[in-house]
Amino acid sequence: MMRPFILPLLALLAGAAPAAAQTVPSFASSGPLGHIDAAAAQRGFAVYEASCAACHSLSALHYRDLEGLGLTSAQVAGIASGIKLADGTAATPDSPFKPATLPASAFGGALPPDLSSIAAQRPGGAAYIYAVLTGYTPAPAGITLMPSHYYNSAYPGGQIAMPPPLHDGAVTYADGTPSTTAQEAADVAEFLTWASDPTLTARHEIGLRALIFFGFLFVLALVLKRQAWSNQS
Amino acid sequence: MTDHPASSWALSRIPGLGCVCPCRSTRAKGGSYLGAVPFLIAVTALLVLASGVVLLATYNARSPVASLQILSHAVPQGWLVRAYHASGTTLLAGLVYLGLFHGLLTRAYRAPGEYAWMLGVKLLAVLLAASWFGYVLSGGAGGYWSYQRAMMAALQFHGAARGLALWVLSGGLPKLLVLHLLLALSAGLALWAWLAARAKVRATPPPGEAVPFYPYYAAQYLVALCALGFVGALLIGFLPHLGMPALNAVPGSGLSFAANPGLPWYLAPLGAAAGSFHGAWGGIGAVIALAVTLYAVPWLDLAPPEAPPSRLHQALTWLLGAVVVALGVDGTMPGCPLAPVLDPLLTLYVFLHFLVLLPLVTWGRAK
Repeated sequence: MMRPFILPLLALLAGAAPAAAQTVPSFASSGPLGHIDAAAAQRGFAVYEASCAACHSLSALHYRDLEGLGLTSAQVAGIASGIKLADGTAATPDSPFKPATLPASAFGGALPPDLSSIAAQRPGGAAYIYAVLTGYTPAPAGITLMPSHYYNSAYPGGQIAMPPPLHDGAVTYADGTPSTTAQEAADVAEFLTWASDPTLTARHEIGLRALIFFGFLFVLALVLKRQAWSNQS
Repeated sequence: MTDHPASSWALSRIPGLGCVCPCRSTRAKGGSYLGAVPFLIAVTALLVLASGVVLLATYNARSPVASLQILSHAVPQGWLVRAYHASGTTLLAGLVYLGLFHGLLTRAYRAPGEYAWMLGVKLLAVLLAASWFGYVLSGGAGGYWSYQRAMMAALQFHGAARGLALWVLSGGLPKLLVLHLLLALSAGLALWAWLAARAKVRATPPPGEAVPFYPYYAAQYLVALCALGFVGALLIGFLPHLGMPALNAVPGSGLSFAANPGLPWYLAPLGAAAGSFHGAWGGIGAVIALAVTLYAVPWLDLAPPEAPPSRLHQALTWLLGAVVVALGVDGTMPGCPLAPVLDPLLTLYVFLHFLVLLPLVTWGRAK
């Protein structure tokens, strides 16, 4: 009897993505003990560079931050040296991520949002990003799309100005993972979760250790307190 | 009673410590753990002040979002300092609310505790003001639009009120940072005065019922401190944005308009109550009326000071707590369709409780 009421309520409390009809994979970063899947986030960086960076900036990150994904200094320096900045020079590990190259006029004046904290901004985080990236379908009968808009079942309102950014084989993964659209979306969602909260893994690890420490100390203090009060009872 | 040598050394040398430190006091047996709340407030306030000092080293009021991102990404353990400050504020506000609620439940405001009660209310007011400035200083869209709404409200005033409000709010984040620091220091002073006033009027238990603070209550305070550490670890590790509007993760700018920016949970009850009244003056009037009503609680309770709280009084106080929580929940859901009806009703009940129900319930016992 209560089930029809409780399930949507739990979904609401968990911050489920609105109108996400498609199946969303489970992300390593989700959940109270979640951690960033470094391999997925590294693949996600490749997807971001190939499919997102031309329009969306990541202003909060420097290339050196990629060491947080398990890359070595030499690998980061190699990645940075391959990126040409607006003044024609090559980026260094200490350079901020290259800003979006296309001007606002290219998007009809609506500048695509910076993705630095997009996972924290949107309810559902990685699941929402995945749902939007894979939510492009033909518009249902009876819905008239606005000019230069696409139907997206996961996007609030159903109409989005961003064309479908991903397709099968958009990137070639170094680790040999097949680059399907769903895989690319899941990887870039994990990467943007990391960009939004680079200390997520450390935070959860430190939090868990602190909980165990204070839980143990709490029990110890309780025993001490009972012992101190035993002669008064 | 024997003092620990270290506490004797400190108490005889540090000015002002003796009037807030409980180590020389005697307490009645069987005191509740909630008696440790003022101590926990003091510990949390020190943590928040210390983390705030470290934040000052990297915070730049002219580019708040960028400077906080540098702190989180580039400064070793900088994210932890930021989390201490944010979660510490949540803990601090929660503990002050809990302390005042406990005071209402046990009638701690009764004579001779009136002044201590009023200082507790003052502490809450200063703390909430400081936390609003902190919310705006975070540079998120929630804080940005909350600040813009305050500016628009100030423009509706006339004369000296308009001048004062605009002086406070104009000047941007650098001035707000200075005011945030001043209010944080004021909250520290209010806390010290509150603790001292409480210690001054603490009832001395009869000789057979008294136990020294050390070791009995020191052990109890240690348990409470561990519980605080546990909750703090939970907040910092797993719920760092508890009660904060998700909108605040978006950098604030005039290009991302938010009609209902929302407020952090600790400001939400006050925001919902202020929003129940028409216009800027209505909102400010509601906040001032709430503060004055809370100040006047010792005189609205007509029962004799020595009378224990009746069951009806306690039941009504619990109901009041539930109403304030409901106001807070409503206040954290901007754009809730029930808010225009629910908020005025709940706010009205808060005033009804203090101005009608409390005198009525305690009047019978006064006779």
